[in-house]
Amino acid sequence: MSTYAVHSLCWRIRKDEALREELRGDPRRVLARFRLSDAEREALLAGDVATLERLGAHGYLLANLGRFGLLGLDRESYARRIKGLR
Amino acid sequence: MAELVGGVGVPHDPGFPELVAREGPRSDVATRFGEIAAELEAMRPDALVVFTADHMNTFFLDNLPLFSVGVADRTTGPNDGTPALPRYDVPVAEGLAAHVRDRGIAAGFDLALTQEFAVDHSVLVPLHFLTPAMGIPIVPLFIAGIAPPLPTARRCFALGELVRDAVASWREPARVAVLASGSLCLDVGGSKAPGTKLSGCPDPAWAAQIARRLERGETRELLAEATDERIRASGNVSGELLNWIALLGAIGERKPSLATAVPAEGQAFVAWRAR
Repeated sequence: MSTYAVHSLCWRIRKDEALREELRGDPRRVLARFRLSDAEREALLAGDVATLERLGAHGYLLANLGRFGLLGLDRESYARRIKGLR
Repeated sequence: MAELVGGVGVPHDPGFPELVAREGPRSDVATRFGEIAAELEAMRPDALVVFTADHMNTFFLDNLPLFSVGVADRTTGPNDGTPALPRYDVPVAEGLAAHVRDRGIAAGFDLALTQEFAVDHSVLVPLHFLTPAMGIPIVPLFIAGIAPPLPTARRCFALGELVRDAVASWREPARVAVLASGSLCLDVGGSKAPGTKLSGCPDPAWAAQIARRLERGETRELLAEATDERIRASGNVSGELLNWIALLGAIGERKPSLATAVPAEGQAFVAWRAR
């Protein structure tokens, strides 16, 4: 159910520059405000988007992490990692 | 009584406006849109019903209607920062939009309502290329084709039939065209996009098959093939196909007057003129 929290985070970062900055500075603190499962939180912190997709997250929204250079990802690394490549 | 004068279907890749700004009016994309724009112009529509899959910009998962009609006198956008797309104000055919919703609810379609809304690239990229003067009022019909479970193809086809009936019973002598916005087969940001690309068509053979069905007017075959399983397996935004299926419900079984398939990209540019 809490896949919603992953989606909500990924949706908000596109609209909220302050949130993006905060996420770059202290990701754990930001993620603590979202009702994420432990698996989701750890996958987000690791930039493990393939696991997040397997947990039910939608790539269309997840890709915002790569677009905005968050959680250690950029466009290129996101596109590789969503396919389980390093 | 209003008359349904035809329809067009085009993709809405948010990269198109920038690409055409860079490559110019002789680029493939500009040429394809130009051909469809000429078809649409020849239909001389007074209003344009737009079947579109909002990309979680007008609606989000906190409140997601499966089918919704925009009933207002105008809308604006893009609300998603589409590159190289100007800010547009678009008139909405409010009376016709309300009539479509009224007729839909009377016919058992539980159509949600939005009366204050902005639209994203899924509406504005097609209009940017097809009706850039924004002089033709639209009826936005949002089909939730991105977040599964998707509505079924048959239900979307029936929605198109409803639009056809609503147009036929609209009191004004308007010429109404329909627009299907979207790809036939597409994955954006998911694991199915080809190679190491961020987005693309995971199944060009399926896209080619859909395009052949469209070209031949094989609507019944397409409806049987476009199962939820098939659509979802072919990409995480392949539900945009449902906009095309709704269009087929509106225009009835007929062959297109123009069809350009680009299956490698999961796209097609198609026009149908009603006689």
